[in-house]
Amino acid sequence: MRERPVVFQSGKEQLHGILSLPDAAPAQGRDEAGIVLVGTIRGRCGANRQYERYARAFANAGIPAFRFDNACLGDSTGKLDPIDHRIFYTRGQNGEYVNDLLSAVQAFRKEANPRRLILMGLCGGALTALLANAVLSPPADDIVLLAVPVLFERFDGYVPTHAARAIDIPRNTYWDKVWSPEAWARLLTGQSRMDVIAACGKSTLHTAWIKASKRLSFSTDSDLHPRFNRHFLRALDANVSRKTRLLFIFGLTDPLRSDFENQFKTIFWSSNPAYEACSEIQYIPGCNHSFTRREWQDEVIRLSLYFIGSCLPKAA
Amino acid sequence: MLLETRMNRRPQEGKIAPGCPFFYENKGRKLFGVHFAAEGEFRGQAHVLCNAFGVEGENGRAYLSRFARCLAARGCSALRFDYPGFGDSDGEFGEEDISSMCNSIDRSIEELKQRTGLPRVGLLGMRLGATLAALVSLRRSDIDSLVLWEPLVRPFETLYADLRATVTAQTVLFKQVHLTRDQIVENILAGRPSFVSGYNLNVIHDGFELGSRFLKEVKEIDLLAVDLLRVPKTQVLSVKRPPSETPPKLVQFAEALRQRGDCHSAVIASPDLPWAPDLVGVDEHNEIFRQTLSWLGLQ
Repeated sequence: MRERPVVFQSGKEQLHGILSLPDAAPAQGRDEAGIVLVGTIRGRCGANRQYERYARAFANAGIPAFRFDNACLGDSTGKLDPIDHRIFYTRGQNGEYVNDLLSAVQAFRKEANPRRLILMGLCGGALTALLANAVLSPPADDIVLLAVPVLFERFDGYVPTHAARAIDIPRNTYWDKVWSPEAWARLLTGQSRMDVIAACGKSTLHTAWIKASKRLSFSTDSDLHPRFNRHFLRALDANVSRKTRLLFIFGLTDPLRSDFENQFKTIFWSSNPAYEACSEIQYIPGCNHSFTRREWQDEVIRLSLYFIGSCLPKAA
Repeated sequence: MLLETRMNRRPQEGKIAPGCPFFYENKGRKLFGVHFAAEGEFRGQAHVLCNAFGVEGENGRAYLSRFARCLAARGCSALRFDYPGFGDSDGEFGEEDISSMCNSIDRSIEELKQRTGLPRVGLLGMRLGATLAALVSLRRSDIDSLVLWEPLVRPFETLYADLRATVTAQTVLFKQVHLTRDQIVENILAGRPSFVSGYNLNVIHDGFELGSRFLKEVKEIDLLAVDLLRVPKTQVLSVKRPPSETPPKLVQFAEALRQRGDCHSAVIASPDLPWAPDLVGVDEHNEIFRQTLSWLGLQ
């Protein structure tokens, strides 16, 4: 396993990342799979240095991995005056760090261009992965979501960030474009991303079908938790319609696991068979929200490698 | 001509220098560092920044990077680095000790001297990093200045206090407390794991494994017992979130340094502790930066 630092641009900011590469060069000039670990509040090393452990374990298993600091965190540039960590989480839950992840994926694809792209994140990082992949082109093949939050940390209304608007498929992304002559010109001259448009269209029809078919176990918004994050649901639907495979991992002592089960799974899961077809849910006994202990991190590595391995071609 | 002057590129107007990340060797292992080269005219000052320990270090990394950028913007050079077993450097946290951490500070000093061409550098440390910076300065003759942000005068006492969380965690994991702090300390010192239902409780901050050598060495550290005459000119900042107060031993340490002379000390009451896990972001105009930059003659 070898590592090297990578500095890349995300908007106006310079983000710092570490690329972990397997010792052996890829057999056919290109690795089968590569992972981008999505930066969190603790930066590219993750809580209790777990991202560093994951990246090295993946690289030792022959899978290149990339981890990075979001803007304003760790070694990356960016100005952020001190804020309560809950405000930071809420911003992330509104998609504030989606653009950083999109830039990181671009940098990773430039450095190591694997056939399959996997995103992996913890808590806000997991949600950012889900949100970003709704608009990522080409999309990631798999996402490993550790303790993904389905409720806002604190809800003061949806923040109209550019990224959040982009995720809100397709009302914000495409509705404006219906009235834009430039957008029509791009479409008619074949410059538009047809795969993204098709995915968005499919996602919209799918959501409309779910709502119309009365397969939802709730009838009004009042049945939803007041802090329920609709970005999560929309991004999930977009990912499912893009055939991205999802591995959810929760610690059994994590309160966010109950949120996931009570506020999402019991309400929405049965309404859409595609969730079950695309997703896998795993629980780690005793594990807390942040996967802080080595025993739990080892289990995450084992589950993730098994999940990733099950989609790769078997060695001859 | 100083190397730094030759290497330095004046950044484009309005751009912030990103810092140059790199790995460097130390006894066959990789250390990770980010070198923030001086912007504009080099003022002949260079500083090695020593981070805090455990979860405090995770939170302190952005703070030190930001301070390094402040130094670079004022024409100084700075190196932020990760101890072995921390951050992006090689090694496992539980296998490192005070000696290997101090050794990495020595190596980083040499690296910065080589990069800048300066014969002497400054050391700046936060919490346990401040304690280690003070210890390293005692055995070297090439340290110009020492900046200590809330040093741990007797770090074992802090670690012992922090182990309370490990005891509390047992009630979540096992519904009862199986091992007390003293039993955990005893096991760590004896090199025995503290296994309960498959979990090793020889950890701090809910997951940072403590090694036997580390704890033995930490127990020996007492800044009040060092030969203060060998410590270079020093700034000691005690940073407190009201209503908590400066620990009496830190007051005593700062007072002893003041009596020796060539020492500036101050107490800063601020809700923004650089190492606190409940805050994100750094205000560049905060009092800690202001006091230190002023003391270094860079305001």
